[in-house]
Amino acid sequence: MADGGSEARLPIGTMRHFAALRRMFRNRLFAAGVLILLPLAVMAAGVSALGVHDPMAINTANKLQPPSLSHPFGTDEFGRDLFARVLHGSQISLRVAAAATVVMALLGIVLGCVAGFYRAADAVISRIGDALLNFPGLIIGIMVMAALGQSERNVVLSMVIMYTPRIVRVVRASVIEVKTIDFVDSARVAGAGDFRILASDILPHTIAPLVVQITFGFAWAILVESGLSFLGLGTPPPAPSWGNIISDGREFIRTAPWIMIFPGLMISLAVMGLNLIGDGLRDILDPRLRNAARRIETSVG
Amino acid sequence: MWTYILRRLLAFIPTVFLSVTLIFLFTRLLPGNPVWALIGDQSVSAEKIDEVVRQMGYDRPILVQYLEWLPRVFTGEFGHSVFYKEAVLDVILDRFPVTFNLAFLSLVVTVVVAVPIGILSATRRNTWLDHLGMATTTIWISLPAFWLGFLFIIFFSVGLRWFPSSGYRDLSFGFDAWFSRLVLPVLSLSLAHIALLVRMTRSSMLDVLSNEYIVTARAKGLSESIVIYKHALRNAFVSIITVIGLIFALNLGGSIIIENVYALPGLGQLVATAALRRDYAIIEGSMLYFILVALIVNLVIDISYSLINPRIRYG
Repeated sequence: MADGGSEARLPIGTMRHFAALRRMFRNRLFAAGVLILLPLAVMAAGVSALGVHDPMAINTANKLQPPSLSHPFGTDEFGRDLFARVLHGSQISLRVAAAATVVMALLGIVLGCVAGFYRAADAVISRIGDALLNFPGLIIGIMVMAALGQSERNVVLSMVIMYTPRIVRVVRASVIEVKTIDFVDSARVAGAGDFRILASDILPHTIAPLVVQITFGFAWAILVESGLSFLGLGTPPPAPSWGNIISDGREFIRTAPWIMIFPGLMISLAVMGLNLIGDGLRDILDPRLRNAARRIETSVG
Repeated sequence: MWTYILRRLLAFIPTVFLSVTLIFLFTRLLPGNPVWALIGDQSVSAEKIDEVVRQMGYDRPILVQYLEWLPRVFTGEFGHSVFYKEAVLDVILDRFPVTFNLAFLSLVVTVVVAVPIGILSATRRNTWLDHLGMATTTIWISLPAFWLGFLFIIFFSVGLRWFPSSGYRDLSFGFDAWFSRLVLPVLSLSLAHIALLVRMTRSSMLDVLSNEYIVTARAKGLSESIVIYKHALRNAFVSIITVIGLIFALNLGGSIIIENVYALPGLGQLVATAALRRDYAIIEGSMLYFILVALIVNLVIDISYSLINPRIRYG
């Protein structure tokens, strides 16, 4: 407020958001994460406006060219421009991961609230969640993809099955923590029903840990999408998801290593950006969790 | 403590049941069911399909199927693979040593490398060493393991020709043959987990170091190395050990990807190939095997934890 100027003229709500945003960017981890992720997201969103080559255009005369000015990332075995493929890939990979993140967040909130609020439901939901989390690595995803076949929707579905239990755990824990605080009792005395209490009194308190967990979930989803695609069980080819491009480049690892280097870099950058944002958000939103090595849960291996 | 161990063993039974049941439900209730996998892409009449369904018993109520399936699981009759023309359990047992070698060696490497770095990071908190360590772990955690594996092949196999890029040799072929083919897989599997364990060790060490008895030990005039290695480390270890089971499970899971990078004939490669061919018997059997191994390792870690940590008296 003190440094008024142009900010002072903005409506109060906007100003408050502005201040919150400024405070977030003062966290170096968060700022670094956004700095890494933002260009990737912008490129993914505006890839058609960038005027890159057609990612599917085959030109066999031009196959397996190393990076050059006209093909900054080189070309693959069909002479397809890898720069275009990697950029389009960011759209596909980020879209699939984002879709999975949204679905598992919504499902996680609902199941987490129910589990935290009703003991009987908790017994069922948490048991099944724990059992799902016991399966190592991508094995559940592999099973689901084998049964349902390759499609973007099924990749999303298998990620939702694998990751939602973690979100449920986080939401459930904060619901249980908040449930016993006095204001919930006073809301009940005031005549509020379960749903009202959950939605307006309890849910807001679960947001901080939830947002952190979801950010790590997004990073996890990008890794899993690429992992499943690499195994031939992810986004169906010839769609150039990052994992698919790496998988395509496998045969040419000796002759044309650039095919797999660039998409891998993109995956690493996206995942690192999100991890940094998650670390930053954790520091900003929930200082108690500082140093807690939550991330062990989100490793794909 | 014995009551704790007994209780832990009793709790193990429903966990196993639930996991095994989930596998059953996964394989029966998902639409692309095993019958279709058997028939494949051949166009067949509806009668033929019905016949296969009846032969395999899939027309009976799901509960009946489950009750018949369950005892077979616990006696190790995981069925017969169409592709390998062999009992599923034999196929799995054939390949498990590879996966176990990979996962176990990675565990050893992870612990040996990560714990000292984590301790160093914690005791030199906020120095350049600590910052470097934290920055490096942030990067390592973000790299896809299979991509890292390919980078290693590009640098160490194709470029420097130090190690073979694929395959597996049993120890009986000699130490060199065994070791040289496992170096790169173990490295690619371990790096991310090393980063995780460094962070965990660091934070549990910091937790311990903030305790009052550490202040007391220092006030008594004990040297810093005695404070750290005798007082702090012993307590930090208690929480580090719980993570080891988790790391082993992560290694088992990660081996699925890594075995496919380095063409190691283990369980991970088996299950990925089976998924591509929709060989349900193998998928089901491998899932059962993976989960049982993971659960047993967890059980063992939990029990040894209660033996190591005398403070715990689970009344």
